[in-house]
Amino acid sequence: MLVLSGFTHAQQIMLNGKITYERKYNLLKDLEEQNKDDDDNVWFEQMKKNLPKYKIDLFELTFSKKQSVYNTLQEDENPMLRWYKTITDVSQKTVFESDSTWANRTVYDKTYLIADSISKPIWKLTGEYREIAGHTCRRATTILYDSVYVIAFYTDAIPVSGGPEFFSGLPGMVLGVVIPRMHTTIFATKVNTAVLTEADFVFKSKKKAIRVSREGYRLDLSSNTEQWGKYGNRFVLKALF
Amino acid sequence: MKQLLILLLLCNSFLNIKAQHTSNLKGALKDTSDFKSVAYANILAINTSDSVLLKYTHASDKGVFELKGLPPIKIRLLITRPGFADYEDFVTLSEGQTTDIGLVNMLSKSTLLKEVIIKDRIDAIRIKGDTTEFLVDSFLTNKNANVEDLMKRLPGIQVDKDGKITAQGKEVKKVLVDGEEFFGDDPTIATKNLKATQVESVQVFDKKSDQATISGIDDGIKEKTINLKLKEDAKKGYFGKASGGLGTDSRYEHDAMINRFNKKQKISAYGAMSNTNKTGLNWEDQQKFGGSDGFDYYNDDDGNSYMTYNNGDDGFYGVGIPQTWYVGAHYSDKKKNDKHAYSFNASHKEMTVRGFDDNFTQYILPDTFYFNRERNDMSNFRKGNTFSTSYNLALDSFTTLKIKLNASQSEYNRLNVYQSENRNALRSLVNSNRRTQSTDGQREELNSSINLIKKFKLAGRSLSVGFTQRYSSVDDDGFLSSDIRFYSNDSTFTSTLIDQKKLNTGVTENYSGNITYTEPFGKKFFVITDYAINFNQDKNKLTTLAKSGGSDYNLFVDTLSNDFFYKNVVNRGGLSLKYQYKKITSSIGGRISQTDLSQNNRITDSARTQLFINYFPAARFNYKIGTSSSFELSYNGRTRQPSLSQIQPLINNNNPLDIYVGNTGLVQSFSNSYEARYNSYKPLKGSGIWSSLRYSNTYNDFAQKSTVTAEGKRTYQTVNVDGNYSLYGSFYHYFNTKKHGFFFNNNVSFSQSQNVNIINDLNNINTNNSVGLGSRIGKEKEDVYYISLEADWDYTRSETSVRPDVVTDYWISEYDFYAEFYLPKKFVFEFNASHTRRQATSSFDKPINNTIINLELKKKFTEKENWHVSVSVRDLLNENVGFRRSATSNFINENVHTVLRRYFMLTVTYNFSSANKNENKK
Repeated sequence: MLVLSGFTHAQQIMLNGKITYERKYNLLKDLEEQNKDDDDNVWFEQMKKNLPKYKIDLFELTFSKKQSVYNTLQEDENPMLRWYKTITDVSQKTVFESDSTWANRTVYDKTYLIADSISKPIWKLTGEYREIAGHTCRRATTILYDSVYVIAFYTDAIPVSGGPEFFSGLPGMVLGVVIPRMHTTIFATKVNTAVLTEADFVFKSKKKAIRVSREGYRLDLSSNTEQWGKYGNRFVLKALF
Repeated sequence: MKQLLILLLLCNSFLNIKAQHTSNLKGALKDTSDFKSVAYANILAINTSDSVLLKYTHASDKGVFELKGLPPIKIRLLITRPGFADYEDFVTLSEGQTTDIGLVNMLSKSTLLKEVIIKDRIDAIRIKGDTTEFLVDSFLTNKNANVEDLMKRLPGIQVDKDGKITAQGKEVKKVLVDGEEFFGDDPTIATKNLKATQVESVQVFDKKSDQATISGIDDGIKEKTINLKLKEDAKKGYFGKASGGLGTDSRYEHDAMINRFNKKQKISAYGAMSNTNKTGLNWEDQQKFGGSDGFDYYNDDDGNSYMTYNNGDDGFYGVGIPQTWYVGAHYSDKKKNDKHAYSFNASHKEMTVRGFDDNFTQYILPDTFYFNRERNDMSNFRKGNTFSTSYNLALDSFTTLKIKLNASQSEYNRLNVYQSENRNALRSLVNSNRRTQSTDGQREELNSSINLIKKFKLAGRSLSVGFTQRYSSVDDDGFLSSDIRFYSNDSTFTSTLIDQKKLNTGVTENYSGNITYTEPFGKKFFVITDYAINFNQDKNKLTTLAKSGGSDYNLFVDTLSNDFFYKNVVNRGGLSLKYQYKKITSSIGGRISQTDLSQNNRITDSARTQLFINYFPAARFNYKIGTSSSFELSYNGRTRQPSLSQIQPLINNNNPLDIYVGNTGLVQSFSNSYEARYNSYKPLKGSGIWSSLRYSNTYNDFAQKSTVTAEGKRTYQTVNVDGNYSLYGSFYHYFNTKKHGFFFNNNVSFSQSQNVNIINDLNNINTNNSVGLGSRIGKEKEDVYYISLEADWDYTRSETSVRPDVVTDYWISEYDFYAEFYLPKKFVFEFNASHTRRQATSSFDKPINNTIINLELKKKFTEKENWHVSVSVRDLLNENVGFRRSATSNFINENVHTVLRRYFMLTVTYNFSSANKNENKK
């Protein structure tokens, strides 16, 4: 193998390393949108004053040309966020060679193991750039689940078709994701090369996890939240992203 | 043969499918400067018509690549690699063939010298410094145009088919609305969703990067930004409703309210009149029209938030039939980005409540019983004005100052006519009393508070300082006339007459200050200290005057008059240690308070001072299981000092058959309470458990010592007793059946308590047990129907040690059916039937059973659904009764009182709003 990965110079190519992602969910904007029909709501006014603006979780993606593992690095421990922790225990493993991925997700009281092929949305390239964690990234957009507009930024400096969570299927590593409708952004804050062994790619599924496909996961959440009315649809989308 | 044919067909169809994407593309990359091969470059095949990425690959170590399975169309080939300029080419692929583009020369950026000069096309309309501003109205052609359509018309701004905006040659990265980010990072969200008619002007400028704004260090990065300045009237409007209801029995329920808003300014007014149980604004209307002064909001350590709503004490508690009218107004505004927030509220309310209150009480005495029946016919009137104002100031992002003030003034007159009878165990008459009490008076109150809350850069450190002032004064005059007859046997009696005038004045003043400081130690430990001082002063004067022969009340009755001065100063300090990390929240600590009590009876000229030290230890441990379950153990201890009236009461002969005497020998009581709780909430399964077990015991608890004479006259005082405890447990469980969509709620609770009192010098231990069971089943389909059926059973058993032979036990059961249907043509039908059974007991020989049925049919009219007409009936069978029963010590009481009974009502409601608000609502 070429020893190109030892350098972080922009001209160089990185084939294995670790990326730290900061996942930011704008809680207040989301609440604001849910309450836009009722802007005199006193409860909401007070919530706005007391809740933090963002829920910020940190994740780490360990990758090589062959595989990647995505783990929770640090969960936002602000006690005020107690009722906004819809999804916990996020971790994921992807093996590029066999086109397969396994993801752990705990949605409130249900634990899922989502096993499927690697997500390959239809990406559109818009020819724009953005600098993320020292890397020039190209902008690509797609629409997921028929309605959710997603913007991703990938870098050709890492020719590994991976990314955080299910955001993949681009020529290079996805370093940034923006989901305006969910008020969520995922941006890499650190990108470093690393010498990795097989032990760095260990992935354990949770006990009592229900094994589903990506579509099965969506359907199960939908059927579980059928009686929640309009809020249910919103909740399912939240759990998908 | 057949099988072979099928196989061939299958192969054929397989090939057909593949044949659609059999075009291939290959090539090799070379660096133009050092002629090395270019490995790992990204090779992208992009559809020229819609920019969709069709296929991609990476160049091999030798720089060669091959893209397989492409459609036979014209594609955009994009080759990118860090350090090299992008290579772009258009290639037309032919079906089933591999197109070889040969050797591609990649241009290294170091050899690339190209100067790009961007020519700013500034066709400005108005230039303010570095901001270009376009006034929208001069560019508008279509009322329904969105901002994106508008942008296309502005000179110097281009919008492509994806919604991407280019202003003055640069891509616009941000679109702000009134200076704030409208919707995350995607500029198109704002431009596609806002209507052009709402926008006053479009400003284009270069904004410093967010990083620079936050850090204050200018990194030179500037983003082309568009700010949409909204028209003032885009946030202007009004909404309100007017509703009129007329019913049988001359029932009415009318209200009207309007709210006008202009940005953050809110002005509202409301008025209502009714002679039903609707005596004030409900929660929803209070929020929309009454402002937020009645609401209190707070958070606990576990991230739970609570809000309480106090709509004031208007003197109506469900006894009697009220007749009410009130008007009110509210004004609030926020200025300078919410830095200043203030509000004013004013209201006037008048209410008359008429009705009767029937009490039937059994006194269980060591050797006998007494049965007391008392009827109270009442007529109470009250009118009052309230005014409140608040001001919140955000001094900086860490400090807030809150100032609140409220004042109220009310006048009242109360007339109560009591008729009572006491009978002995043989049910023969012992005494009777007819008594009329009338009071005319007024009350004034003024309260204010100032609170300062400061947070610090160090997370977890906080300081709050507060001052509170309270003032109230009461001034009333009344008359008491009473005729008590004591019967020696059924035919002869002696009569005691009372005819007195009572003048009562009282002033209470209270000042308090408190300070709380929290300091974190590391990330897990916090120390919380607090100190408070409270100063309270009461002046109370009661003058009793009797007639001295003539018709004037001019004889001063000193035994029934007093002039009290009462003062207490409380110093309280607390210290606690809290541990909070991941799953565990626990705390331990306590408070100590010192109370200095002094009182002075100015009539007898007797003064008295007392000093109490009270302790309040507390401990709590909470463990979270997963995101939505938790287990908690807690302990609280507290001492309680006797109240002034328990030590030395204001002498009161309002009920001459029931007289309270003070006890100067009272000491403090101390109680311990322990609680264990387990809550689990499973949103996806739609199930949850709430359970709790509480135990508390009290040393030197306050209890009643009563003496009932043979004539049925009771005198009582407060004494200290030991042995009081209570135990309470509850379990609540709900779940859904996924298959049929039914929900079930079940609850079980039990309680056991023991309390001691003294009756005719005998120690009496009362043991009360109760068990409650409840179950509810229902089904709901949003906007179609809601049905629920509920049953509750409660069993109470009360025993007293002085009369173990007398056991009071009874069941009360309640069945409730509720249904709501959304019918076609905007009809809504609501049905509610409840049946209650109250078992007879040894004391109450008649069961009280009734069935209440309420029905309502509503229809919404017009396209906007802003007209609502409803026909309703409350208590169709005319069986409603006001009822309370208690059996807690050796006094067993049953209360029956006036409540509203059957009436039909026709209600018409009109909801109105300015068009703009309506659009927002949809």
